Amino acid sequence: MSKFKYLLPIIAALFLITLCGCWDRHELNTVGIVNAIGIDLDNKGQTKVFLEVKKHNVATLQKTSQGPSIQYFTATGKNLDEALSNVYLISGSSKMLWSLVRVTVFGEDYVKKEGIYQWLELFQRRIDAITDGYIIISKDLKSSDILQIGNNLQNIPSQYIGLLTKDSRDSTSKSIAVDAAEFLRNYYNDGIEASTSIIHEQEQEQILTQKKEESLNISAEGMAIFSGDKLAGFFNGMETMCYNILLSKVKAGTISIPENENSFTSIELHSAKSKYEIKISGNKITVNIKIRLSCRINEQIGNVDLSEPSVIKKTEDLISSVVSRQIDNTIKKAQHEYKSDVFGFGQYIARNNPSAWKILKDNWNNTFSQLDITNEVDINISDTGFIDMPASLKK
Amino acid sequence: MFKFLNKILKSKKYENAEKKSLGTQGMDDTDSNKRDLISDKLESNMENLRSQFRNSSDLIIYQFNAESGSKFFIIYLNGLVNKDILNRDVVTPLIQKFTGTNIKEYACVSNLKEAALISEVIKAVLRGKTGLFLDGYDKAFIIDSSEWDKRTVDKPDNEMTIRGPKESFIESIHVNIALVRRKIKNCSLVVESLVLGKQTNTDIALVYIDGIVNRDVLAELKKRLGKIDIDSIMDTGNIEQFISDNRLQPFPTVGNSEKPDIIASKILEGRIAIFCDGSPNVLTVPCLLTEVIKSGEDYYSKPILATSLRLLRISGIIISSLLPAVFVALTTYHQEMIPSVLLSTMADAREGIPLPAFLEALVMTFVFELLKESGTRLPMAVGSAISIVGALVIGEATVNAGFISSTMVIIISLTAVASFVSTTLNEAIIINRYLFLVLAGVLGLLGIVIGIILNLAKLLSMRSFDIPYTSPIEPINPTEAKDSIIKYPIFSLKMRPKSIAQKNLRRQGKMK
Repeated sequence: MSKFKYLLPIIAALFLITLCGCWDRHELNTVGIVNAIGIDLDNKGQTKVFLEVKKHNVATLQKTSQGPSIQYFTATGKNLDEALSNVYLISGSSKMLWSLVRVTVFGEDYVKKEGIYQWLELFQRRIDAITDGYIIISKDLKSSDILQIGNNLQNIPSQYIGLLTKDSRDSTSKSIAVDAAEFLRNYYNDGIEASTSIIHEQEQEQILTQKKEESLNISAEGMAIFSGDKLAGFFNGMETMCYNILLSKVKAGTISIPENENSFTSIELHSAKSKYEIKISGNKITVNIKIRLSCRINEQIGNVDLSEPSVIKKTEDLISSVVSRQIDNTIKKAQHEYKSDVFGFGQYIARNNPSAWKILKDNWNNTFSQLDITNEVDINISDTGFIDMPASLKK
Repeated sequence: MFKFLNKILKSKKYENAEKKSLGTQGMDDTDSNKRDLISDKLESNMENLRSQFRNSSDLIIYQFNAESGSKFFIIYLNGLVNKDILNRDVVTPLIQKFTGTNIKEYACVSNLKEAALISEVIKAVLRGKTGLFLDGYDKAFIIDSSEWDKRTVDKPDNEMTIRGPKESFIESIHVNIALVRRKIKNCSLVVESLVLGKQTNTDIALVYIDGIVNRDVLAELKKRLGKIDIDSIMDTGNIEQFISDNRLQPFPTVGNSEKPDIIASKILEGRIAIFCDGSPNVLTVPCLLTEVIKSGEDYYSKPILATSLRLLRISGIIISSLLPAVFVALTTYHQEMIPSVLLSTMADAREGIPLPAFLEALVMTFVFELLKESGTRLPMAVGSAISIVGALVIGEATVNAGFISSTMVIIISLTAVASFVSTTLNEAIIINRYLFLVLAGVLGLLGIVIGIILNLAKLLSMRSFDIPYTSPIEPINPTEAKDSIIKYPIFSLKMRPKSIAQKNLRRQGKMK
């Protein structure tokens, strides 16, 4: 027996194999993979979550079109956590996987009433709910409406919305794409306010190929501005582009500039760099922004010969004055209408002049709304395309 | 736990050894010593030898008379000698010309020795030599006439190379040593012979270069070989188990190869080669961990290719021991670590699979080992049947039937492919694969990390003939590490590995 007593731990260890039902072990087919979360208010003012969850199809060799492999769950509760845990009552999953969420859509009414702090609390505190993916606000719509949208290219709404958010930012600069990490960074950092992308309904002519009569057409143009955790307001497309220019986030974007009644120039930005210059002397803060834009001429209607350097110079001056005015308007809107420093002027002071920031910190939003902000736009037309003269001149 | 098992085995071994030594003492008596002396009478010697060989039918004793009247007999074992040489160069000249007493003047052979004891003659006869007895002379002559059928030197079966020498060892120890001797034409190449195995009397040879070899290792090796008390040695594999440092763990502390060029270069690095008659595999000691990723070809091809191949081998070792475990850990514990698109595909594949992922991996790993084993043991003629069964039944039918998920088949086949990268570590890889799998199934990635720590602790504490097993990486030795994971060009490898050779280190002069 004395010999066998050493074998006992080995045998006991072998029994561990049968005990592999430990507390966080979940087979993959029992896990509910959440693609998208929509958060709304229901009629009684309770929080209502709307989840797009992957539906597991049995993989077969003969892949037939089985339609989108997703299913929806919706649950309500007094607060967000309760609503989310109520999902387990209906989903039949041993674990809902929150970490692969592609988009989180907040209904406008929810954000206006509850703010966003419940979500902040929940998704930072809970260990199983680390989340990334885009944060989106559905303007004038319920998030559940957006999450049920169909599209011809993508079957899965979350995938479509995620791509729409990213691609519209990358190719037009008229919207922004904010993932959870960036949102949290802006929310917690001193001197900058959080912002998210928005999705709203877009009037569009009925396209023949669309099957559903009541199909919803959406657009990602514009952005939402926060003040603290409360929704402060929205920017439209052009204002969003100015926001992107100010934060040097432009990858591509088209601006059309009218010269007179019949002629206009359309330019494509390929890079924008901005630099804040903030001087603090006593109580007076002067802010000047230097912006360098690089662009090429996409379209030119009117009788202008672009092969002349002087003409190019004139066009550059025209564009820079227009862009400068637009930026000025955008900043004024944020200053006076929303009182929210989404551009991060305060952050700039906090980083470059921490001692001054200590004094300014407490009343920054009021200080910001009274700042005198000027800007200088320096534009450089790097390319006029394959032709010099407008097509109309060649007659 | 291994220590405990060792203890049990050791105590058992001592018991057996005591019994054995008691048994042999009884047979040793003074009577046999007397009989061992060669007498000057032909008849009594003949009788003595016959009885010693128990009248075995392959023993040939042939008596003949010279024309001058002298009486002789020769003794040999049928099939172990070249009879042509014996007839032409020994028997014929003796019959025709022998008159005096000095046999050396008449027998036309190059290797002739005198022996005074019957036991000496028996030993020689058993090794294919011929004993020659002369009437009236109390000594015997031993003529080297041995020759028997053996395999010709051929291409290696297991260690294929594209570049470099393509000959491999055979089952004859003399040919094998000669193959190495032909690579190292140097009189300081020492061959030390000894005999192991009470019944088999197998010839063993230690080959090293005097002046380069590490004397401590040599002394330790001789000590360990001296302790071997066994009745039969069939292959170097038997010796390997006796002289290994830690006999029960799976990492190899004794290297082996079937290629003379690899053995020669290891001898030149200060290692000792152990040849065994009847075995085409030659052992080398000490053997360090970095040797498992080296191939003979590395030294013949350019350094960039050699380095990338070594990195490939390392990744192969890691993949083949860790991949199923990591897969199980990720799919059952850490789903958030898998990209979402991949995750949904994998979740689809798992839908409707009856076994949990852990058991699925365990079963598939087991089935793969089953296939591998039956594939190697099967006769050639039915060998193809296994691959068909393996590919069709296990690969496709099980997936179609929904027993095993298709991702698991991919994982296991990838593991299988990677496991063939390193054959020397095979044992360790297989054991570790199961260990990691169980740990991953129970504890997830935490378990895998525990397994890695256990393995590292084991490796770092191991020694091969008192040389740290993980050297030259830990303890670090920059000069020696030039030929470890990264292979420097041959002209920058100016020194022998310091941990092994320890003296006479420079092997290249300065480049002009």
